[in-house]
Amino acid sequence: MKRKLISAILCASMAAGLLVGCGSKGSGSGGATTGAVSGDGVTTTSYGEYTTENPYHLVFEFIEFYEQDDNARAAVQDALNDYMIENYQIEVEFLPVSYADYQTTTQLMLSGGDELDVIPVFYSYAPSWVNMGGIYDMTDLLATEDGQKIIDALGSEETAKVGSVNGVLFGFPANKESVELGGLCMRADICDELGLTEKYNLDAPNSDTYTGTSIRWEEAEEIFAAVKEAHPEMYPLYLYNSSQYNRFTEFDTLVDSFGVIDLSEDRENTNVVNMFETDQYKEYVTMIADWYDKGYIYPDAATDTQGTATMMKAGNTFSYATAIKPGFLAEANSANGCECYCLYINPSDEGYLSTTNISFFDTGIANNSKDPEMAFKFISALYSDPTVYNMWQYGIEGTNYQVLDDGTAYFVDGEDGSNYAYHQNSGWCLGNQFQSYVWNDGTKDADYWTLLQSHNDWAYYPTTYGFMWDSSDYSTEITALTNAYETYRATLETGAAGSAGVQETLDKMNEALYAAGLEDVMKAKQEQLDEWLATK
Amino acid sequence: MREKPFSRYQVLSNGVMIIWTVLIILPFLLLLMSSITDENTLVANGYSYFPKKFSLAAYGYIIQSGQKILKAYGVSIIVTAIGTIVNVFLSAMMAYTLSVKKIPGRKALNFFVFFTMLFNGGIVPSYLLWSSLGVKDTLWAQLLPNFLVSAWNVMMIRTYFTTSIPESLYEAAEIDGATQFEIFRKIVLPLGKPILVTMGTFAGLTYWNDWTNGLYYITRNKDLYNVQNLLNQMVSNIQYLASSTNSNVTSAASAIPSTAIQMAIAFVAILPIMLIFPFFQKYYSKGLTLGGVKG
Repeated sequence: MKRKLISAILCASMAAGLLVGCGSKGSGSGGATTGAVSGDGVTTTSYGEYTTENPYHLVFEFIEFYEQDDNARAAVQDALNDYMIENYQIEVEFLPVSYADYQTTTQLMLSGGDELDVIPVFYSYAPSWVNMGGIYDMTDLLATEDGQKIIDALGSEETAKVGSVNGVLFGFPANKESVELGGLCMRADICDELGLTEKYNLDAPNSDTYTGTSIRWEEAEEIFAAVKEAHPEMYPLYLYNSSQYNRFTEFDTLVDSFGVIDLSEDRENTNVVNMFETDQYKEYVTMIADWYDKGYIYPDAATDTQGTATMMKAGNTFSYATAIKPGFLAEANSANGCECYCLYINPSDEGYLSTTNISFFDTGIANNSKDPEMAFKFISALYSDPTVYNMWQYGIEGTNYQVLDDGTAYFVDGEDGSNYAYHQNSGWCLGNQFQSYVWNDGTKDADYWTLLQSHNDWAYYPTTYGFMWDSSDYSTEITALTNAYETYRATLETGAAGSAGVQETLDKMNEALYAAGLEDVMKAKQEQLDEWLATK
Repeated sequence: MREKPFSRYQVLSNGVMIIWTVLIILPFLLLLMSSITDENTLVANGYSYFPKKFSLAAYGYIIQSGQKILKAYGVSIIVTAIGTIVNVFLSAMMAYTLSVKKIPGRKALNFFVFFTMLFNGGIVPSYLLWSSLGVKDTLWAQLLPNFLVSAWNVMMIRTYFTTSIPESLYEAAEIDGATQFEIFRKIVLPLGKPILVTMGTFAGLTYWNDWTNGLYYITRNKDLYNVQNLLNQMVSNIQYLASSTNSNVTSAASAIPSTAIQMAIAFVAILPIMLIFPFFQKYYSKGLTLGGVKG
């Protein structure tokens, strides 16, 4: 009798937990009608009517990557609201979260029914958040006038819809340099000493603006060998415990890299394969292991997490692998505390765009929103209203930043990168930063955004671009796969396995991956991809 | 009769304990040493018990960045102090109730406490409950959820009360006309001091070391972060930033305090506990052995 009672209670409490966890708020009705803004400061949506006296209170969650002064942020919020209430009848409340807390906090707030409107949606969390009913589907809203502004900002409807899973439009990607070309960042003094500067023309101006010298990784070995010989006490290449395979290989990782599209041969490829069995991956890890054996790579790479800046500052590191975008060198010089050169080294020169690259963080609406249409208006403003965007990113003009003569922006006199009060500097994360001022850190011109945009246009789009798989039924498999991969990743991708051990480690990893359900995940991806291709 | 100075058993057990102690102390020492190592030396030579170059720069950074860490310290101290007192008081009251054999519904009460020891609702339902009670972004958030009464502590204290306090004492008190609350206050509390101090230490440690409440329930008012929240945020930020391959994310990583500073903060966070512990040790070991042997 007692046992029955206990199990009944248990069942009930578990069921309640489930219900609460997955309970989705009924998404609002009639999303297709767009709110009308009449000139006299009244906005009407299908949810309500808002005036300048009675604005819509909107909670805007974003990730704060750098520390901000609380009072300065509050002042910026007030200034923004002066503008927002007047023009949009929206009163914005900032909700900054740190990168580390972002997932836990957001997930709890979504399931807890907290007041929340516009949120950053990290693309790999999206399927599970969509399925638990946490995210509002913006498909209908995209067809409105506000939606058109977002499409215009992003260039095409295809790109605007890249943040979709199973037909649910969960968010819009940020405008950024989505193609990541990479290479080496090296110490300038050593390059000069070894004659590398002349050989690769490293001191050419704008060597970091996509026009710099570009070689292949196989050729880079000479550089490491030369450094090793001249400076045996230095580590020619610093790698650390962080996944870097995208610098060395060309895959569309289909979000999680378990089941990928190999792009090295055929860019129209739609065949899902196991990345860790491809020739491309094997060549990459074999090459790294060989370098490791020869002493080119930092010996503790497999466990190290100190990061590149710390190592370069310590003075015993020659180079590290990194993404290189225009303006990179200036950032590198200040972060590393020494003068640096960079050299493009990539599997192909043009780079490619995949769903993963574009859809990193997306701007979406929480289902908790009391008025998704007003939330959508705010998102639209993030893509099309520079006043709103500049204020969120850089603060108040004259207080937090000034506009220079050439049309770029910089801190007000007396403030710089070390003592500013408000400067988010996270435009790559949400919204359309291409509409904001270019931040003048000494290297960027006013046409910096055009430069980034031009490169996005130059890169190629694989056939699978725009496809996002629904992983929510496979979350256990993904966790198991991630664990299996993590067990061997660092050893393989930093070369610590050594030439002798590469094949064995690779075999072991593949075995572990298949045991963790790789086959099922690949099959599901292929099926979903085929379905998606058929409707395209 | 000549007694051997040391029996073999003593030598062995002491030896094991000494090794064990050293194993526990060494990491602490390394933490301390790396916090006073010069940052560049730390990077170049790795962690070392005998750093080549000392530097107090990390502690200088903590003192300079002052306010934030001081505030967090204040939150930690207030929450730990209040939390510990309330926790011990409530747990003791509950335990006493459970230890009185003649109380009606004792079995049901026992089951109730025991059940929560094994099962809980999980994060989301708890979050829903507490946020609907309005604790979010208030000091209550650090204090109320999860740790105010611990079923485990209640059970430990109850066992102590039933086994170590003779029942005849209660009877005598009752004959003298004491009410239940008087018995609790005048007999149970003084006699239960060892176990209460022990449980108090547990509760205090739990409060001091907790970072989950801050993570879940404090989203807007970061002034209410405690020391562990700050530390956790810093460390997990580094992990997240380091594990990302996105160039924008990795460039944000360079804004994070260095290894030595993390070590220094970790040390500062442990310090109060280390300082307070010796004062309670006397009761602590007594309470543990008593509770353990007789329970």
